[in-house]
Amino acid sequence: MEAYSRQMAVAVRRAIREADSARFAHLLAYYRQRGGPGLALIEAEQLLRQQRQHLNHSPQAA
Amino acid sequence: MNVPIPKSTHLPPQALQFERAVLGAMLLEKPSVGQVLSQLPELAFYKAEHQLIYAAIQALATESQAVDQLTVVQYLKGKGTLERAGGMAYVAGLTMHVNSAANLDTHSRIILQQYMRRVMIEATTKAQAKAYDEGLDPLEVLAELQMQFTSLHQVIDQRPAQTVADHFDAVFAKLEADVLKPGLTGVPTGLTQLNDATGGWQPGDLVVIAARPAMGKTAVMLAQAREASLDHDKHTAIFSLEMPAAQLVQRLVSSEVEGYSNSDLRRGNIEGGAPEVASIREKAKRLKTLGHRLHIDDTPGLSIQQVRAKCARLHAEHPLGLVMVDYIQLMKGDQKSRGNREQEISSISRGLKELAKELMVPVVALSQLSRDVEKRGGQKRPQLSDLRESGAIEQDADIIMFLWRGEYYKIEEYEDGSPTEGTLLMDIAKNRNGSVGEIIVGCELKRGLLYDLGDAPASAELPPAAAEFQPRVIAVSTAGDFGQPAPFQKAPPDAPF
Repeated sequence: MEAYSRQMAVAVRRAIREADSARFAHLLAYYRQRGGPGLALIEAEQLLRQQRQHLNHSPQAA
Repeated sequence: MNVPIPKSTHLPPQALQFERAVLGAMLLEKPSVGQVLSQLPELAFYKAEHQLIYAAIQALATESQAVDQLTVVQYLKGKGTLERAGGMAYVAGLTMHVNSAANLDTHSRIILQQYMRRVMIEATTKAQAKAYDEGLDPLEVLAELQMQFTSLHQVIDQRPAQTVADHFDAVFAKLEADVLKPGLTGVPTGLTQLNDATGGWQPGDLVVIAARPAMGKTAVMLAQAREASLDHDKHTAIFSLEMPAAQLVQRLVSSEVEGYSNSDLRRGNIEGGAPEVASIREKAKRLKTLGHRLHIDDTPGLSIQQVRAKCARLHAEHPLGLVMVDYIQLMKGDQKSRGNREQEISSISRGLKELAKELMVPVVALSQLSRDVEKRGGQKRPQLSDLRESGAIEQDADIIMFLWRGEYYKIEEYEDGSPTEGTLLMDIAKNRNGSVGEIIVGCELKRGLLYDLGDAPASAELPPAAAEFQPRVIAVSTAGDFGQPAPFQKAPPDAPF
């Protein structure tokens, strides 16, 4: 089972969070091929971004 | 004279597209990481950026961290080398060069081949410059070149990680062979009790035989060399830094032929003239017919690198079974250690141990003891502290054996009252994988003969000790007693060695 150390997990999460949409798309495609603990982190961030986008476009937000 | 290294106008051999493909595969597929790390050294990559990225992958894998684009970038950032490694975009771009990791082995091999070409070019270019330098010993230049090529071979001949299952059958095959000659798993020494104590000289072991002059060091070495090469078909290399090869061969002849001492042969003291010489030649012909297994190199002042290079060459021609050096203090250490004798001796003993492990053969090295032994009162028995400028000999050696002849010091009896005449005491003071203790063997040094007491050759002048033969293991202690002088006492007949 692959793992990140705590510090590495924090650093990778930050890099994913700070990625612009083009880089994020690249990383998502990359981790989908690569797998490993990075995939779980990027999928969590993807979900977060989708929720944020949904909220921004919801009637309440408008 | 310093000759500048000639500059080549050729671009050094390289395979950048394969370097990118291999690094990309390592970032994409977890199994690729272990596969490549076991095959390629960091310097196999030509591009400095690739070396840095590879080193980062290596470090992450060593720390059991997942190796991926972001962890590699993070690692490089932490080390402050991300920009030198080409930046984040370059690392990310590496994965674009991978179609499939299926060809990883082929790609790695191509990178390795280009690396080998670069190493060979660099080594020969440097050697060319050094060969022009009149101030350098050409033998040393050659030895250095050979060493570089030997290390290159080691890079290519990488052994895959091994499992217990891989070795299981081999261990039992050896065991089956060993039960046929119980206790004797190494190179036979020709002496029953020494074989029992050591199991024979073991592959990979460094054995140091130390004594004051005239105790019979060279005789012991030659007796062991005869036993291994002539009686047990082991190719044996002797590096004799003190005695010329012709003298050693003369000693071997006197050991083979009854009735003539080494001194008789040296002085031509042979009654019967030329016909008797022909008869001696006939009796010693075993040395001619089987002597191709006994290699003697009598180059004086050899360095440890030269000995290793010569052994590597000999081993490639005929796999060696035993290497012997007479003696350590006459050798030169590596160049870095010269000037400090203790460091030099340490580099020699370390080099001899490495040689034993490299070739997986026993290396038996003779060592001269300091005069402190003579200054000491009583029996003048050697001890570990007597190893002259001993440096790391004590640590590097797997077995340390001291030789002592009471007869030489006019000591007529051992402490148990048995006579010392015609005997040699072998004191095993260190034995990493066995017991320590003392063994007494019969000897006829003027013919270079050693034998188990009670088993004297017909021609030997029977010493009193042999005449009243008893089991001559006079003291046995366990390896834990290392360094403690064992008391003289006769062991019971069923003593373990």
